[in-house]
Amino acid sequence: MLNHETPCSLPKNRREHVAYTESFLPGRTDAHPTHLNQSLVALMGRQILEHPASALLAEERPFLLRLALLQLGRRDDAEDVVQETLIAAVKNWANFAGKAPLRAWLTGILRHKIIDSFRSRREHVALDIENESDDEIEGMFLENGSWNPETFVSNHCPQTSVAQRQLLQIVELCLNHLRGNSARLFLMREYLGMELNEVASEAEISEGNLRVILHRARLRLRSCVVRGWGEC
Amino acid sequence: MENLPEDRPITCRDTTWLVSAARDGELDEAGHAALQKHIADCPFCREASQQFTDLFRSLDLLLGNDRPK
Repeated sequence: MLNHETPCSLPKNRREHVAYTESFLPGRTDAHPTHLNQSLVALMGRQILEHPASALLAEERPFLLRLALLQLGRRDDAEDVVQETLIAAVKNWANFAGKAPLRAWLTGILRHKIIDSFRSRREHVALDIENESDDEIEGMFLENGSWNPETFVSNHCPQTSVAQRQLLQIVELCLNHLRGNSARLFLMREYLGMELNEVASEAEISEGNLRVILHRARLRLRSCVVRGWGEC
Repeated sequence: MENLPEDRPITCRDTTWLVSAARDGELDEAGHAALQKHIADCPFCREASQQFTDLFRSLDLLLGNDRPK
């Protein structure tokens, strides 16, 4: 058996964990699931509200907005690409036909819109990674490089199995918990699918530094989600 | 995989580098073999490796990724 206990400063159970991570989320309060972008209504007319997809799209809008905001960093830009995504979804609704999960279809459209926005800005990502503390990561390991049993979270046991939807919600919450610049670079790689050399070039850092940032982001993400998934 | 230690066995911390490299499609045969050897002997890394696999699968679902990394 593994010996493990979470530190007292960390959330002790899934409910507490969700409340903990939700406190970091930007723009949660204005992301009501029944709210469809007012500018989308202004652009396409009120008939958009009667479109068969409107309720479904409104439910997905907050997720799309948070994802875009994480990547683009500016709310106006994020609002623009989400609006373009929703317009494209309405126009192409007949092609969707439920062949894939709606969120996967929409994130695919949004990916292209973000890449377009990103490239049209011709701006490099402002990085301030020097001040990022490694305390969280250092606490994961002992001096000899082994996992620290005091902080290692074990959750591969039947009684902690969580529904897929909850798993995804926890991953989403934890994504929002990643630090700004790391999150942007992480999503350039993980979401936009950019090659390492492309991301490094955009961020004006070396590929070696980028690997360090991605490694840290993955460690932090794992640490966050396994606490949310629950301990044995 | 660059920077595999030549003078000592890899540590748990090293394996997380290898997992990250594998996610980016950068893990060569030697790195893969070193990772599997360590995981076979280390219950912590066996579990952590499964946690990373579950995490990456969830991440791909969440982000609508359907392409190999």
